[in-house]
Amino acid sequence: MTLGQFATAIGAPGRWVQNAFQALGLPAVYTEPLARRLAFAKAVKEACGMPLRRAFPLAEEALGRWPAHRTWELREADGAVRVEIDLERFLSGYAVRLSLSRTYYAEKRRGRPRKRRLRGIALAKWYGVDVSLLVESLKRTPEERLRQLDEAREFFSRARIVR
Amino acid sequence: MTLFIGQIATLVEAQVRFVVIGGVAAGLHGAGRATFDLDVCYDPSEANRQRLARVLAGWGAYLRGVEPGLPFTMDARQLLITPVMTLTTTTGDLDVMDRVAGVGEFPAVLAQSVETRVGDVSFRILDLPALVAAKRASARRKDLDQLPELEALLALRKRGS
Repeated sequence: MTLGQFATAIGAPGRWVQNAFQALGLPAVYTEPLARRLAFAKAVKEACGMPLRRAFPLAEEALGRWPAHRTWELREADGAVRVEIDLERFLSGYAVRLSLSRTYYAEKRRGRPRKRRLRGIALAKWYGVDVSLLVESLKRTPEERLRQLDEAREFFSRARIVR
Repeated sequence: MTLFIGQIATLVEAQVRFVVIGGVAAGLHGAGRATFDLDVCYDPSEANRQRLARVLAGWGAYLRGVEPGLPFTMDARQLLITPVMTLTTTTGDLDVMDRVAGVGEFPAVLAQSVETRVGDVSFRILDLPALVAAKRASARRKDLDQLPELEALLALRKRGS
């Protein structure tokens, strides 16, 4: 995992992850099990203000209770405070973010964008876009365009199955 | 797999408030690039999240790119907690989100959308200038690669009018 994917899986900015690693004395190795633990520690920290250094060691024990237990409960020694975490709901949210980190997240292009001398149609031609196809496409109705998208989707999904 | 129009028609029928964004919207504006998933931006109101969650649960929605069997609950609360999801369903892949980078939250997306009609199904798609803004804001390589085509479409539209 890259730092960006790791941060997406946790649901925190990259800078938060780097600060957390420093606070916990972790080496900068981004793995999926670590992301789940840190995400859990972050949830506990946000729920009851427990410092990350205390919440992080609890994560392994708590997550180990699923699927036998649906919830995990933390009680303060004096019994005055009780925090209950819905493990299934937490893991469901984590799975969504993990999915995003694998399918949606992509590294953003860094640096200042290149100054473009060309614009509009001239830029598209330079980029290799066949503008005559766009002109033809604009003559079609939305129904015809959507049908074309559907045909391409079906063709490529069949090609994926063959592979 | 269902056709895009089949997915859209089901959402319309279920009275989900949404705007089609991404590759399908680009295709409807005339772009030639193939796309595999339907991207929709939805109204995050409680009632609408419930309607959308019902449709998605009916389609057996599960997360794309993760191993099967992970705990995952498809309901209105999940849409509230994680408003962006990349899903695979019995009708095909689908991405849902309640905001669009470079455009804003649902009301802004709705304001920058146009109504389109395919057969007897009417629905809204993000307009071309907003699509360009969204692709530019995402700054992902695959989105930036589509910018010249979308900008050319904008120029052709202006020339046509």
